[in-house]
Amino acid sequence: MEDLRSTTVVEDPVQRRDLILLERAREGELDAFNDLVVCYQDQLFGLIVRMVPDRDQASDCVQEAFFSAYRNLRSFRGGSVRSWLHRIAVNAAMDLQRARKRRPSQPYPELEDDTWQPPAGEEADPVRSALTTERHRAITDALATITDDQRAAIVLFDVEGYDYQEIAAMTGVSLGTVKSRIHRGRLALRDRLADRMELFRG
Amino acid sequence: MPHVSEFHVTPDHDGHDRLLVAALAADDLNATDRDHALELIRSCAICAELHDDLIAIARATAAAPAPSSRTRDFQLSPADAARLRPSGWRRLLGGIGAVRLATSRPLGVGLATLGLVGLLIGNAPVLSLGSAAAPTLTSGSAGGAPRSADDTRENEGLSSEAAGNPVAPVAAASAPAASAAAAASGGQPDSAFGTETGPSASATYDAGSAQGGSRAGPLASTTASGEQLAAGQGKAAGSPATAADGVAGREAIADANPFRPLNIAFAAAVLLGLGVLVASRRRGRIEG
Repeated sequence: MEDLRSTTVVEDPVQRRDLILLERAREGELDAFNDLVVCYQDQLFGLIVRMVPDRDQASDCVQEAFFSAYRNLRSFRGGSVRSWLHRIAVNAAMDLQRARKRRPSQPYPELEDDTWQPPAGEEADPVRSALTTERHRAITDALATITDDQRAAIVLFDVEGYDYQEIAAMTGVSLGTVKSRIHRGRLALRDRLADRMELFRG
Repeated sequence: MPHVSEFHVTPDHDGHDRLLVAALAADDLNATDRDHALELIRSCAICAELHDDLIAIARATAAAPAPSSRTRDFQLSPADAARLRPSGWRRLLGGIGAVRLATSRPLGVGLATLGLVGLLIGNAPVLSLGSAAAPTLTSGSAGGAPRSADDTRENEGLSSEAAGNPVAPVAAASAPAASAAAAASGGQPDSAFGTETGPSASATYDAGSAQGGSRAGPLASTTASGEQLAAGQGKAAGSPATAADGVAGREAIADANPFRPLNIAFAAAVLLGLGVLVASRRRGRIEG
C-alpha cells in the first residue's frame, strides 16, 4: 500500500493534513477518517444539495459518498483529497439523478417558508439584504429547473471553482461536452430568469 | 463595454449564435471566434445584453449560498466501519474486482461467456457431437432425423430391414424393453423434434407403425409415439438392435445427467464471471 506521507512532498498544510489523516484511516483508525468527514462534510453537502434538488436525497448522497470513500480508501492514488472526495460525491449524485423518477416537485420546500432566511451580514441593510435574498432564491429556483448535467457542470465550475479539465475527469465526459453544458446551462438559466433579470443587473 | 443604447438591433438577430455569445461570456474562445463574437455584441444590442446577463448570472451563481444547511452528521460509527470493511468471500470478491478494470471486466465477460457456451453445447442434443444418445434416438422414435453419417447408414439399414421384414415375431417379445429404453432416452432429448421425420426415419415409421396420426404430433405425443414406433421398429430390427438400444440408452441417461462435472464447471464459470463483473462495476463507480 502506497505511503502517501513518505513519497509526497506537499507544501499546502491543508493537503498535508488530509494526506496524514487518510494514511491513518487506511491503517484502520476510524477517528482519522471521521476527522476528514468533519473537515469536508459541509463542503460536500453544499455541493450535492445544489446538484440534487432535495435536501433529504442530498443528505443520503453525501452519506453514501463517505461510505464509499471509507470502503475504497485504497483507490486514492495521490493528489488532492478534496478533489477525490468531491469526485466520489459527484458520482453518487449522478447515480441518484439517474435512478430517481422525474416528477414535478418542490425542490426546496423550505424556501417557501418565509421564516427561513440566510444569516444576515454585519451591514444589515434591509433593502440590500432583501434583494440579495431574492436574487439567491431566484438563481436557486432556476438551477433546479435545468437539466442535471448542466446543473452539475455549472455548480462545479461556478461554485466549486474546478476547471474544465477537472470537471471532465469527474463527470467522465469530454472537454467540449463540459463547455457545451456550461454554456447551454447558463443560457437556460437566463431564459428562465428573463422576467427577473433586474435582480441581477446594475 | 459600450452602453447598450449605442448599438442598434440588427434585423436578423434571430440568426445570431447565442452559444458564441455564451462562450465569449465564459472567455474560452480562440482569437478568430472571439473577434467574431465581439463584432456580434457591438452590432446587436440584444446580443450585448445577453452577454452581460450571462456574466451576471455566473457571478450570482458563484455567490449564492447553499439552498439548505446540513442537518445530519456524516461521521461513521464503529458499526458502519465494520460493515463497510469486507471480510471473507466478500473481501476476496473485492480483491478480484480491485484488479485493474482493464483486465477484470474482460475476464468476467470471458468467464461468463465460456460458461454459457459450455452449458449450451454440452446440453443441446443436436449439437452434442458423438453423443451416444443419437443412435438410440434415431432408432427409438421417428422423431429424430439422422445426425451423422453413421446414423444415416444405420437408419437406412433399419429401413431396408423394415422393408424386407415388416413383421418379426421374435422381436415382438423384446419390444417392451426396447420401447422403455427408447422412451427414456429418446423421448426426452428428442422432444424438441417431436415426430418430425427425415427421409429414412419416415420410411421406418411407415414400416413400423400404423399410427399415422402421431406423425404430426408435437411434443405432447412424443413419448407415446416413441413407444409405438419403437415397438414397430423392434419388430423390424430384431434382437441385435435391442441390445444396442439398451447400452445406448444407459449412456444417453448418463449424458443427460445435469449434475455431471462439466455442467458444474461451466455453471461455476458463469457465476464467477458475473461476480467479477459486478465487483469491477462497483469498483469503477467508486474510482473517480
